[in-house]
Amino acid sequence: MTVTESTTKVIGTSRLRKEDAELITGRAGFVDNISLPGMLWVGLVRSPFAHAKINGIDVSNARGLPSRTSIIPKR
Amino acid sequence: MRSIAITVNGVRRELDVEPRQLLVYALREQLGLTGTNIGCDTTSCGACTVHLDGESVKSCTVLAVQADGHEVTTIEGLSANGALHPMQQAFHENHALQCGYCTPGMIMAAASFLNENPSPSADEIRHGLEGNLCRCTGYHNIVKAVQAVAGA
Repeated sequence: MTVTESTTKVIGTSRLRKEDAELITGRAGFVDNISLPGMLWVGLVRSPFAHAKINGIDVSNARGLPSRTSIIPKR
Repeated sequence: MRSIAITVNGVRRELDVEPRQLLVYALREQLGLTGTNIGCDTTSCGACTVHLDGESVKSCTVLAVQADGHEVTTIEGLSANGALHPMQQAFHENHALQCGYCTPGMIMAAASFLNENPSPSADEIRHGLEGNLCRCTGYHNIVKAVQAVAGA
């Protein structure tokens, strides 16, 4: 097989990226940019101790928050 | 709440903000201009850079009320009539971005920098953009992009 000019047009040349257009104009779909109707936010509360046994989780203060949808205690 | 008016990308926008509201949240969450990214929220990274009266500022360090009566330009408003701003074009042509997260702030900072110093050296460009971090380590090509615009 003979290597012709046409087979070397891509290899060895610099290619312009196809994904740049939205990234350079501020239209990129980063996760934090997504806003959907009825979308919920989650807040994680982690143990303030690096190495400890969790004996219990008191969610009573969180229950009083006005815009709270649900609390999911997990240990 | 305070009522303020900011001219954003040439359009007068009236909004009610808490006195503690940061400009970047007013832009992103109240005006829906999500092109301005939040990287660190602590003035370190420059991802949220916009122009305030033509000069670059980190919008996570400006209160929305401080922009009252002033002009703000974001990455969405940098180019006019659908054409790319020369800095946007140069970033594309010089491979000055990878993931693109720092890019809006980097482009805004670079455009403002060239207004102050139209023909900088490579060292001056690096110094001028030191407030903007790129973790894809794309600085080399970012400098090339700024040089391309300066030399054009």
